[in-house]
Amino acid sequence: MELELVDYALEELRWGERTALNGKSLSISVADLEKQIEGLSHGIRIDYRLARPGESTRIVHVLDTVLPIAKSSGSSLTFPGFDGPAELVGTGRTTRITNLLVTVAGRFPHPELMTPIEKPREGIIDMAGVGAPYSYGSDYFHLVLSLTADSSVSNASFDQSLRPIALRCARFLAQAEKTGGEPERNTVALNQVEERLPKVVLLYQVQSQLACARTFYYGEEVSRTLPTFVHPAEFFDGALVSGNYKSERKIPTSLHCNNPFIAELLERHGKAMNFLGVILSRGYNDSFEQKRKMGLWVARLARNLGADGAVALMEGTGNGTVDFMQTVKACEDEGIKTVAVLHESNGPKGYERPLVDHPKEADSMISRGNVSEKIYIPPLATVIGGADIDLHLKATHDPRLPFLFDPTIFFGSYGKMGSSGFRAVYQN
Amino acid sequence: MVKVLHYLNQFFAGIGGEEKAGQELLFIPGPVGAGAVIENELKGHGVEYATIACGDNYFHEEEEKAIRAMGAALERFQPDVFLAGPAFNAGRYGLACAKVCSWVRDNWRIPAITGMHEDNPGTQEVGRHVFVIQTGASAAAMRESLQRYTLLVERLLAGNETAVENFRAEHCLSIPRRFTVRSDAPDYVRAVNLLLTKLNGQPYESEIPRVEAKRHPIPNLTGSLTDATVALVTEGGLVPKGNPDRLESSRGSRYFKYSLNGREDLRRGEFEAMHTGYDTSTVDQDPDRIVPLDAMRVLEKARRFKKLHDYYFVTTGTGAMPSKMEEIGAGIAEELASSGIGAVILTAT
Repeated sequence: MELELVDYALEELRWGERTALNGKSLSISVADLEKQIEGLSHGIRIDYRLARPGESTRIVHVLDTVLPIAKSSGSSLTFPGFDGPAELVGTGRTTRITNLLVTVAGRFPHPELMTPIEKPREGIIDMAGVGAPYSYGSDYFHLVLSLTADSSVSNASFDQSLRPIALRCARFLAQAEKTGGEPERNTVALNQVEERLPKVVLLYQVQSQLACARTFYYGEEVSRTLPTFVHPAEFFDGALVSGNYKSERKIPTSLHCNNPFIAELLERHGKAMNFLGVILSRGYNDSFEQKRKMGLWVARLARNLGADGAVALMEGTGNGTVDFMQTVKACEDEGIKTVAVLHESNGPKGYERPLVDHPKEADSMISRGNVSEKIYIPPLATVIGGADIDLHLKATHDPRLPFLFDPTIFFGSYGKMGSSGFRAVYQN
Repeated sequence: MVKVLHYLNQFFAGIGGEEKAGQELLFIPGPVGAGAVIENELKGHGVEYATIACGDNYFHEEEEKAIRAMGAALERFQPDVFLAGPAFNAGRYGLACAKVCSWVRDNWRIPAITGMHEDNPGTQEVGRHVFVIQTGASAAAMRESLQRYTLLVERLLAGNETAVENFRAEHCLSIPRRFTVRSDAPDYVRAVNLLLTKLNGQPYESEIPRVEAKRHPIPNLTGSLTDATVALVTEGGLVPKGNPDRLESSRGSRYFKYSLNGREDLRRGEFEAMHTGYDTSTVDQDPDRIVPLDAMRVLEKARRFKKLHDYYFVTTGTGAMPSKMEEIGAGIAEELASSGIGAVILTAT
């Protein structure tokens, strides 16, 4: 299985009469976007905005970000399972714009009808300043779709609409007419390597509980699937799509299809290791017994693939940590050496127990930093997406004013803190 | 010109002893007590000195008010450096100094300095970047402690970071706490490197230490269940519809009790669950599924126990810090114990 990537990177993003990529400059026509999503946005008004890395801009109410990817060969579509029957992906050729995101922002039309667990958590992206290394997407260009639904739109239909709107815009942008620039070409493949190299899998646990806190694989909720093997190339084609609005802890759709852990393991494949692929599993199972079994099944699958070692990642926090730790424990019990990556909650003053669950088998953890430490967040010049932000159902705040909060206010912060190289240490 | 604001309790501000522990926060334009010594030592720097003081009881009983009044004092005086204490081994004063300094450092981003003995419980409330000068256990160590305050202020004013760090190493308490720093590589690189080290059989070290959770064994029933009054307690967030007391749906910081008197079961529409950690829709449909009043009434009529307690206790057990949950648990337990409760059914999610 082999996927060819045709990659374009931007240096400039602006509005234009037509949508076209000229060299490293992308111009976008709103009329083109509107045509793409015709029929998908009934009752939903969309404000289109642009944001650029380093700009003094804060994007608020962010629900998801999508990387522009489109198939340029074969009959399948990227983001399979959305827009018609799913076909297998991960082969052929895919065009990507590697530093642009289609960013969906907005509030649900009827929050008063949502149970606490369904309510999206505020997620902001600071494109510059203190918040940038905590904000997923701060180093990307953004086409922001700021959505406002009228009262005729139900919460369920808003949730069901925003994905196809964003995914279609993303496919469309990747297909923009291109002139005067040479793409970078890469191949995603797991070629045969020397037998002596250690065999490694990536354990990839997603959050999938219920509407507004779920993840899709080929359009299907992962809550309804067992742990499964996924080829890295399938990730690059958008086999996983996020429907999770637990903002700070979510893996955005764009991070599923452009994940630095997968990239790093592919990079080391054939050199230091034999990367076997990814095992996708689900956290937030209801009972301890289910969590334990999920761990056992993942370990059994890894064993059958022949893994000697595993890197383990999880989306979520608290509850999901137990599923994750049961997975790490089960792998170690099967003799698969496992390194697990997690954020810590050491409290604002740093003296709380770092993890809610930590069995002795999890003896080689990588830290993403203390997510409950307070940071002083100064304002930025421009705010896109709303006039007030929700400080996690406790208070509202004017995003043009400074505030003191922990990194959980930033979109995708748990993952971003890891990429930014944050970790927690003991300090006096 | 440098402006120093110094926080003292009622005793060290010379307002009075325990009888003045309820004193509200005062702003005094000038140094008082320990402050006068420090001000005198700093004379060469052109110091403008002011003091805020309040009673230890007042601070702890009216913390929000005290902090608000302090914010107003800071707004008015605009200090460059904030001092508190020294508190030596005085627990309530030490806690106040730690909280006040943490608040000032977080919200005003100016240097905040306190001083206390290593056994002072205030050491557990010190935020990041606050200087905690090591002092003796009692005011007998006052003179030496104040010299250290002065020395640190002088080094801060000189802007010599190395000298400040040396001071920290030599004279500040070592209170190990975990905070975020930047490492030399992103998590994905460190994770793969650590795995290869582990696979190669070389020595490796976890970045996250394993801290065992405190074990709380379930106590044995003393006496007979048929003589016991039984209470229902839950962390499932069940509150009367409309959430009259504003129980938080995550990071709960409080608990409440609600009457079960005269009720045979908890009806749909009269209660709802505030909890972001589980799907509350089943509980909203039948609140008895988290606070099992219907089953308890059956058992009560069958005399399996003496009586069901008239109130159930509730908090939200998600997203919160373990130390806060311990505090909430202790509060509920104390109320139950003083109401003569013999057994508890604790429903968790």
